[in-house]
Amino acid sequence: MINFLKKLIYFFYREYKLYLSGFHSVLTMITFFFVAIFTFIFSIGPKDEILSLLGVGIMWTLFLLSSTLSLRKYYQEDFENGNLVLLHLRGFSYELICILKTISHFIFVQIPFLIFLPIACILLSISIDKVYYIIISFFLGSIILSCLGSISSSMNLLNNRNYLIGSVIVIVFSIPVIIFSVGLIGQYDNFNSLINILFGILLITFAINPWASGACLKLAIENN
Amino acid sequence: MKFLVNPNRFNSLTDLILKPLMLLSISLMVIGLIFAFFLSPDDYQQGSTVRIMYIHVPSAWLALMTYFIMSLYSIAALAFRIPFGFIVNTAVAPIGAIFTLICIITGSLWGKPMWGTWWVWDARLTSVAILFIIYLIIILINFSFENRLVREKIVAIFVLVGSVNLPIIKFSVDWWNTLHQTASISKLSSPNIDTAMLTPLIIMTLAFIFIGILIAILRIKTEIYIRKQST
Amino acid sequence: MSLRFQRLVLILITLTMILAAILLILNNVRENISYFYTPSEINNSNFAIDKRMRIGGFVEKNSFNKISSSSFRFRITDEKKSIAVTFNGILPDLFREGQGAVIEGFFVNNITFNATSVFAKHDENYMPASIKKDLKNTGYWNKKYK
Repeated sequence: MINFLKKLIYFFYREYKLYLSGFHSVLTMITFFFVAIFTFIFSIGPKDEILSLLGVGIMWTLFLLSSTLSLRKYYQEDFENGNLVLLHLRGFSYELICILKTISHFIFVQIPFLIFLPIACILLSISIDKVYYIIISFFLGSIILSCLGSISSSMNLLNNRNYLIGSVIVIVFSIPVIIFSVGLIGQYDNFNSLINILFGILLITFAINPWASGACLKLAIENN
Repeated sequence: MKFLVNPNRFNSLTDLILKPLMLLSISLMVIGLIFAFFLSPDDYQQGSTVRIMYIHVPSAWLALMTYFIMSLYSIAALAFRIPFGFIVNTAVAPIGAIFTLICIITGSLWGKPMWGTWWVWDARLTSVAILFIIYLIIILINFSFENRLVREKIVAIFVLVGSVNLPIIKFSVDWWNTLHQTASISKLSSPNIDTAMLTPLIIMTLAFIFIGILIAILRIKTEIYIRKQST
Repeated sequence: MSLRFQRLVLILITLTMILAAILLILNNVRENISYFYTPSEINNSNFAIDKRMRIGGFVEKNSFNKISSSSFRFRITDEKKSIAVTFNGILPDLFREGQGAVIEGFFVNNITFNATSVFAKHDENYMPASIKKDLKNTGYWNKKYK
């Protein structure tokens, strides 16, 4: 058991090192997010009332798009240099590997993103009292996006003809998330029930994720 | 029942029933259309527009049925290692997509005169649109992998993940306030459709089912043939 | 921890998570993705002047007034509460008194709703027009059919 915990800690240490050395790609994503927000602001015009009306929707769409940018990095490197096989040989089942990868993706990619969200809120002139709700909904939503990203990127490990389909898969399954989390910002009276629904979706994706992406990983490793 | 999982048995059985099935489905379609357009009465509210129902409802049922069959075959293929399931998945997905498309198009043609709009974003319409996109993605995955063994397993996994949408479509009209009306025919209560209108609906549904099966058989046979050639 | 043990634990966790998720979603989803509100569901929390919303209900009997060829006034009700509606535009074919309808628009003041579009909603009952006459003649016409 202690041995296993040690392996876990080592896994996260290694992930930390990897993401730190590749931090420029996370920075690229964040830059993409902000540049896209700028283009929105320039194309709509800097009218505060319109921007604050559309702001949350714009932020969600761009958040979704920029998180699909990093899909390729999710498993591809570890898959190509054989680390996934090594992890499996060291006593992690494929399902567990997927859970750990999802958690580390959330910590090292989505959390830096979330830190920059309030700045985007200011740019889109969203009032301060809404920021709290936005952060909560994005927090839950980004975990869901990590799970969906894990599923779609593991599906496309051996796909070298049409990689774009991975983004489409993520976007399709994130439609309910967007519906509920944008609704959450409009209505404060049923905040609790909307949060519960988002949490329910989160549980479902988190439950499906290891099985679907584990099966895909296994498939990819066996057929490579 | 071996023909449902064994390609050779499937081929020999379908060789026998293909011609009768073709005759049956064409004649049912003709009878159904005659019933739908000439012999069925006008609705007390919707007048003649109700005849769109005889195409809209069967195609919607079949769109859901096709996905349900695909998910059953995906479970069979992944869990019990029956490769025939992969063949069915590849062959049947475009049929489901076409039925969904027919359902969406006829529905919007029906919605314009009755509701006063082509399209609204209520729960039923949105979930059916998502079903159509899921079918499209399945077809696209079939084109994107070089390795067939990988591709068909990925399709099966994706079908299973996408099947969360099925209960949402089915119960969307009961769970939420939607512009779309609730189901007229359900197991628990007697149908809310008069017999004079139920008959053409049932005939048309049977015709759609048989035509669906017919195209599916042809496509599955082609798929089996292609696989035999390539191995 | 052997692979088999990990799988077993994971299966248990997955099942409990899915169960919890289904409970959570089913308990909360009902009031949230409504395409429209019914008149009695409109209360202080979702009511605001000039806020776009959709209201669904039946067109109240004897409330329909044609002001000009393209402007109308009627009341939407759910048998508990009713709302006065004004509308400029083309009504769908199915629109009549006693028929279900969904209207989209905004409140201009505390009692009047200005609709920008009107959708007719029809129910799941289908029956031939001739039978309706018979039923009415014999007195078996069920009010519920609207």
